[in-house]
Amino acid sequence: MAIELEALLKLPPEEILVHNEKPTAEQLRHKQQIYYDDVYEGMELPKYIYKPTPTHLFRWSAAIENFHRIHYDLDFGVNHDKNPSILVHGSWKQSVVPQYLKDWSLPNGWPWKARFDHRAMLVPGDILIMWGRVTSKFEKAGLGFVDLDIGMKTQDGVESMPGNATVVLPVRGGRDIPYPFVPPAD
Amino acid sequence: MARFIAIHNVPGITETEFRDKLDAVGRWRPDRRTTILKVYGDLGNGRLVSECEAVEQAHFEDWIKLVGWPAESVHKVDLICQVGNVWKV
Amino acid sequence: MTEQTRSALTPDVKAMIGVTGEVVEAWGVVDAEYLRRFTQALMDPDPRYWDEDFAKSSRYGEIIAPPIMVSYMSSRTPPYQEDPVTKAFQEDPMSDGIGRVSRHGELSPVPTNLVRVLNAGNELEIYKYPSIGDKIYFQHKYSDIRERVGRDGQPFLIITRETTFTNQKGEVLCITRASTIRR
Repeated sequence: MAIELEALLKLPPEEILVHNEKPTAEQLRHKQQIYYDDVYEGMELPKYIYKPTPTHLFRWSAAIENFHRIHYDLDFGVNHDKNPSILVHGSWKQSVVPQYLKDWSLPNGWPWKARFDHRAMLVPGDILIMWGRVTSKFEKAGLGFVDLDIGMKTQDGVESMPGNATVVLPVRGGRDIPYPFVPPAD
Repeated sequence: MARFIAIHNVPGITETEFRDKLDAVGRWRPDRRTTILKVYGDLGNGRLVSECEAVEQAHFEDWIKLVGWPAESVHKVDLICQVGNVWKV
Repeated sequence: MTEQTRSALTPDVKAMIGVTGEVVEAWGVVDAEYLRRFTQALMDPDPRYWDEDFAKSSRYGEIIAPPIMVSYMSSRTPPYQEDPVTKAFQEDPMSDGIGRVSRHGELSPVPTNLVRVLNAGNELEIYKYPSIGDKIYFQHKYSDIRERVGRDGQPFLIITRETTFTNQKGEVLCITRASTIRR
């Protein structure tokens, strides 16, 4: 059984890593649908746990062609920008969000929207926990809308990306979620 | 933000003890604005040199107390040369 | 606000609300190599991104790509543009590596003398997964500018820039919003 976020944050950093629920390719291939009917307020989503290294940061910089030195040049980051080390990209964190929502809603749900702030400088060595929790749900036009609180906390419980999101899940026995997604009219 | 270095006298310190004091982010980053950037060790002679970026010296001294490595002296740093780059800090 | 503090939401600033830039075509297309590098850097191993047979059997009927991936295509340097990295360091040996690069489709700056910039949040709306071969178009807009008063009694602005990403069929793939504080 998955450990709750509050309990996870009480563990020593290296033990936190053991509880990573990030799915493998095979798990995503065989992912079972979660339905609107199955979710409830307070339900926690699986927790994705990362421990980025300078090489992870460099790989992200290269992938998106972001040449900002604060993400790979330790000398510049520490001595010019006075950062504690090279920094984890806000762009990477915000790209994890739609992945996280997609994974939870697979295979036929839709990761519709999210809103989040960037707080706290994150550095190699930090352990990062992507988390989500259902806050409310409602049905509209035969589709299930689930609101979530989301975030990315460090091993010390510092919230680096407070936010919220809305995922659309199919209602059991209900209609398919349209693709491309068209939100129901107000 | 300011830069400081300290020279510590820690006779008998072992590599294990050195590592234990610094091996997690929370140990070298005691709060969001204080960073222990580097620690040099001459373990044979029990001498360490640490480098810290902090808002003020008192925050560095708090870490020095926390880590339990008495500092013979603490210096404010004005100028650094690192791999040929010169920085006024 | 006191008599001494004037509103930062001047008529010139207000006039920027709704200002929309030109539609710009991003360099290149959504291709399998960029998809591989992006999803590996993101650490998303989803077979919908690389297993053609499996992707065909999914409701999408084809390989899909993360919509947010196309948002980074908007900052690609076209080959005909002067090398921005070299230029940045020629202009400033202490450059941060990205310099002052002007990009197509950028909006005119909001005319305010509040110079300190802080991140005030991001939003993302997703409507369709990009397909391999998609050409990507983007358009910026100042979707909102509002004023708040800080604890120091001084007004500051929250400026939201919205970017819509579409493909060659005009289908909206995703919309991003980035809000900044100017104080």
